[in-house]
Amino acid sequence: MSWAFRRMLQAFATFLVAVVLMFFLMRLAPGDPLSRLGDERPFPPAALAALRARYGLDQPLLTQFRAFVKPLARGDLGISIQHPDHSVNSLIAERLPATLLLGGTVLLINFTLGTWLGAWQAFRRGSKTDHLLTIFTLLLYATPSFWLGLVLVWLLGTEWHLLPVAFMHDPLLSPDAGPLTRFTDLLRHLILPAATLSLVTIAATVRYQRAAILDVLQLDFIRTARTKGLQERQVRWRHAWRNAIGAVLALFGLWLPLLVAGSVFVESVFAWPGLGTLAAEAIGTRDYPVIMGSTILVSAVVVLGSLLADLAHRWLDPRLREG
Amino acid sequence: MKESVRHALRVTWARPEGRIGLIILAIIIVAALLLPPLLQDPRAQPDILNGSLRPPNSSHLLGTDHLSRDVFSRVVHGARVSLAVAAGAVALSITLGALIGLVAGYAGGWIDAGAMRLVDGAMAVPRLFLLLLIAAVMDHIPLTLLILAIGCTGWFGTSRLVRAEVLRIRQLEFVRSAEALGARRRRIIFRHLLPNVLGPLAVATTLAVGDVILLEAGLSFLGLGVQPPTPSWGGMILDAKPDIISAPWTSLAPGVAIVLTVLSVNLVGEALRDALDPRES
Repeated sequence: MSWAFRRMLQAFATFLVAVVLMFFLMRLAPGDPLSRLGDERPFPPAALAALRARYGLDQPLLTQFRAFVKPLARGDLGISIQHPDHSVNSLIAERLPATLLLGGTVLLINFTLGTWLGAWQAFRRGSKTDHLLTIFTLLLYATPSFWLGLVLVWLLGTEWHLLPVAFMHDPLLSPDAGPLTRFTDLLRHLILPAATLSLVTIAATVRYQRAAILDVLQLDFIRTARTKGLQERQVRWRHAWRNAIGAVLALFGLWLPLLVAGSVFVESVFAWPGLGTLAAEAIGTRDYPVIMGSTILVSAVVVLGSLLADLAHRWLDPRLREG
Repeated sequence: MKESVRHALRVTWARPEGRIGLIILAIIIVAALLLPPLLQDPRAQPDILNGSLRPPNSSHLLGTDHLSRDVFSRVVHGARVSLAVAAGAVALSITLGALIGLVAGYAGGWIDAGAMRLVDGAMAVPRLFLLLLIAAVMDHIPLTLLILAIGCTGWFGTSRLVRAEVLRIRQLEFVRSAEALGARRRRIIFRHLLPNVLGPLAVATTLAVGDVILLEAGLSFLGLGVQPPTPSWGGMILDAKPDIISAPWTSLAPGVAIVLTVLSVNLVGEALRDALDPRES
């Protein structure tokens, strides 16, 4: 069996374990998803029992598990409790583009600006800029994303009226506006959420990349390259940078959960109509199939991300293929 | 144990970032422990009509919030809650992680394989989402349960770390000779392996405290963490969200408290790691 095939099998097994874990975590916690229905107004026990039967909550745990896994294998995440005429799939599909746009932008910023900044900082180790950047990244690393978002809203959006602070489009934008107007409108709405999420996640990227480059800079071949008389530029970017790529790829796997969790907060602060707000709304209404569905999707993305990172690393780094 | 705590404090203090972290942290802890009796009741709403959203002044150091409650008092009381949740949850997660890592690493075989596959699966779900799942089915979340939930979802990384250390240490001479002398498994795990993973464990513990404070603030901001009227930093920011323009101090104060606390804890963690592993920095 080839290494790649085994790694894929392992990823699939990991995903299965995660799904089983999620299911039992939810069902073993005290109370069930319907027990809150009577909170706000009296709810007839007979109706509650009927609902339990409809969602299969009166069945034994294993039967429930089977009923949950079978449609899942076909990619069916079930039906929302809050919107009974919508499937979870359709709700997620509706919100996915917004999240992909925001997450993709942040990912791009992290893997260009973030890794470059980390390397740049490592090459200036011990200098004043190094210390300043270290303090700055440590501060950002300690900053809650939702709070940073609020502060940016306060400063840029409402004090100085520079940028829109909510939603993805201007609701007053005329419906026959040209594509260019629409596009700039979207970009303007994207700036604050993307900046917030990038700032809080880039701290980790920069610190990680700095450490990785410093590790490489200690190796013998760097000294060899320098004594060969290569220009420092070449030593840095052709030797050190290229050999730290493995660390960057590993970061990609570690880093997706951070992005996903951050987007829950940032989307809810900026009313960005993505998966994060969907999850936040679903928590408010205890719409557990939606929460479950988004969590399953998120862990699939996380598992897939680390699988791709591993495959790419092996493909790029010949040392891994021989051993 | 006492000796190693003293040693950890000494090496942290020896580094500038560690010293700054320890000083800020000490100030926060002392304030959280000693100040509350001197302050106004954080739940009191003396004058909602005229005393709400007052800017900082001599009787309210950090102003008042939308219910005329004293923001400074709420920040200080929030520190108590945040630090208590962090201490409880991290104690739980580090203990679980250490135990499972020690046993899995030393026992090997199917125990190790099973535990590590479980950890792989659990780590595929971001911790926030694990907690959202738990919160989604709960009627209400008492503080002890919140601590339990955060603690039980935080041990996966620690167990991997400890297991990796154990795999290395168990090959060393002193463990081999203890085995040859017929020492029991429990004795080897607790007398020979555990003391040798305390260093990495101490670093993991400090960094975990920062993570948990951010996590608890986030959960409280979503309305799923510490429940009102108990003051918490995340909950204060949630309450202050509509007033960010008219009364920014109500959200700035708890936010700065979070940043300072997490920053100081992380500074201590960094200093500790650099002291124990001088390879980087």
